[in-house]
Amino acid sequence: MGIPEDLVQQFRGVALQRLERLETAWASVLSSLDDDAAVSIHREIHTLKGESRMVGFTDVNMVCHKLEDLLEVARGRGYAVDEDFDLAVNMALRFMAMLVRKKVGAQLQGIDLPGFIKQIDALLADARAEQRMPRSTTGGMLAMLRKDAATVRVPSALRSRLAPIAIDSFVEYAATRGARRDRLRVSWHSLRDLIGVQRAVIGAGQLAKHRANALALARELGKELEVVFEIETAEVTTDMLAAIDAAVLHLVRNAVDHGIESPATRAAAGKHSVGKIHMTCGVRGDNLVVIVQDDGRGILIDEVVARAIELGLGPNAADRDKWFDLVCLPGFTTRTEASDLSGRGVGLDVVRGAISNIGGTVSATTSSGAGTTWTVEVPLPQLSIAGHVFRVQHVPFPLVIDEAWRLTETSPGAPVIDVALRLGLAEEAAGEAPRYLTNGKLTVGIVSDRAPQPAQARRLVAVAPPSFAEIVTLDTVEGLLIHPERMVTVAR
Amino acid sequence: MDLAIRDLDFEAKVELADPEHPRLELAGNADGTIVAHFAGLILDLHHKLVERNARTITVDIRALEFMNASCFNVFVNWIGVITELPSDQRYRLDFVANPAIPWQKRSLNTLACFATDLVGIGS
Repeated sequence: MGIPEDLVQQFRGVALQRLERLETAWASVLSSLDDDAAVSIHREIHTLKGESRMVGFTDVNMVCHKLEDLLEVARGRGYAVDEDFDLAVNMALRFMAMLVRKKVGAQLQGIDLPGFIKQIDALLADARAEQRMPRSTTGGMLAMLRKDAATVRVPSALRSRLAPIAIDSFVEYAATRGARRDRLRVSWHSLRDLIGVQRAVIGAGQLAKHRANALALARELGKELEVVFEIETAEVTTDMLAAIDAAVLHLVRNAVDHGIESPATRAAAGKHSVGKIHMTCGVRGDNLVVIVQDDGRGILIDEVVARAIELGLGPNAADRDKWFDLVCLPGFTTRTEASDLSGRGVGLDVVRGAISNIGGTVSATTSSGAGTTWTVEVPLPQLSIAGHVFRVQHVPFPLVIDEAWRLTETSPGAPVIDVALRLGLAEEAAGEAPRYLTNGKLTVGIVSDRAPQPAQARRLVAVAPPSFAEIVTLDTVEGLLIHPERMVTVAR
Repeated sequence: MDLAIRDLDFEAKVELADPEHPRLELAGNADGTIVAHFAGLILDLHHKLVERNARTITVDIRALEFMNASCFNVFVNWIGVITELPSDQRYRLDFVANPAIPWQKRSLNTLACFATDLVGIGS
């Protein structure tokens, strides 16, 4: 007896949502080594494997098995996987989505399932062989890094792993004298070029081009349009600039293409024939906020929900409050004409993904006949730090401590940090009187023979806890920003 | 709108002058920073190809040194939308790969499994 059609439909909707979550979780694991996401990936794929077997989607079940094998290898590597591997996982997820969507009983027209499985098997064989091979020498790795530093953008997960190594490299270079210093400088500079914070300025110079593009597109589409851009200048990273630039491009283009109506339609609706798009970009508190607002037709939520139900997208489909998630699904569009590709959903998944990758969010409100407002919020990186600069005997570079730590009176009993000793740059304690600082919760002493000076430092290589140091620059001098609370915790 | 992307180290350019032989050339490094632009370019290109009733497009990636998974997914999406077209409007993607860059052949072989009838790989 065949599987009831309603059960198959239900599976299809649930499976597509599961695959969507898997793709997001996989990106999250790679970008931020998110443990919860890693656990959910293995759980979701296991469930999908079981469900697909139950409803007779044997092809999906087969790819699930292979994906589980890939994920096991990835787990074994602490999710530090290369691009080939990342691509294979992504392709397996997309391949399953395609298999889930195909009509029941339909031939696999053009779909080469055995070929796909063979590709995954080859990758798995390579990955397992690599696990058995000895690691390359440090010299080889550094040579590779030097070669690639100028052209490769490093994923954030790898950046996080390399950052503590960069700090060690910097300390060794700075403390070494003689011929070895040149070699160590090359290593440190290679790492710095590879993972150092790349600053960028976002402002009218970067975003104004989208206004001209919007007007050009409106002309092409026979629409009348007024575009107002209000852009404040802010310091960001190059990753942020690229993501926001892409978001503005898509949101403005979508507003012109799908939000703003033709002059005749607007006139018939009692609106001014000239549509309006208003984009603002500026700093609000700790965030950079971009708002793209149009006075067009708004998103037709009933159409979105109807289309989602038609596509079998599961329980969310009937929920009008979830319209935003629906239009952000990859490839989702309310348009049914086969030639129309730039439907409202196309590109929004990319926008949401790009913004999510830099820790931001995308939200929207819409009103039928009155327009849509998209809001992108991205936390601003703290690139500049006001602090106290210490010079410490045996430490050949400045040490910076955030000004949130205030100088305080001598505090007997407070932990004392001898940075030279901690970094292995001195073999014995200096024996000098410490300078005490407090952040209100903790008081520590820093061994230093000179009074600290106020200074402004700029982040060069940021490192997350538990590492206690980051690399900063003071004018052109490189130094360490130290986090006393982390040093005390590590010491305990 | 201009059918081209010129980033710091990525370039995409479309040649539509010869209606029989439309061509997309990609060069450099395609990473997460350009994915949205790249997706946008492919959307626009798809429009043009459907309008012109194209039967095939050459996608020359010989000078593409690197492409991350997000960018490669744009190709998967592209195949998806071509598949959605009525059969008489569909067009093929004929990739030209560089044999000296091993990831290209591997990734394209996997991509071809999505639609063997729509993807060709040459060098």
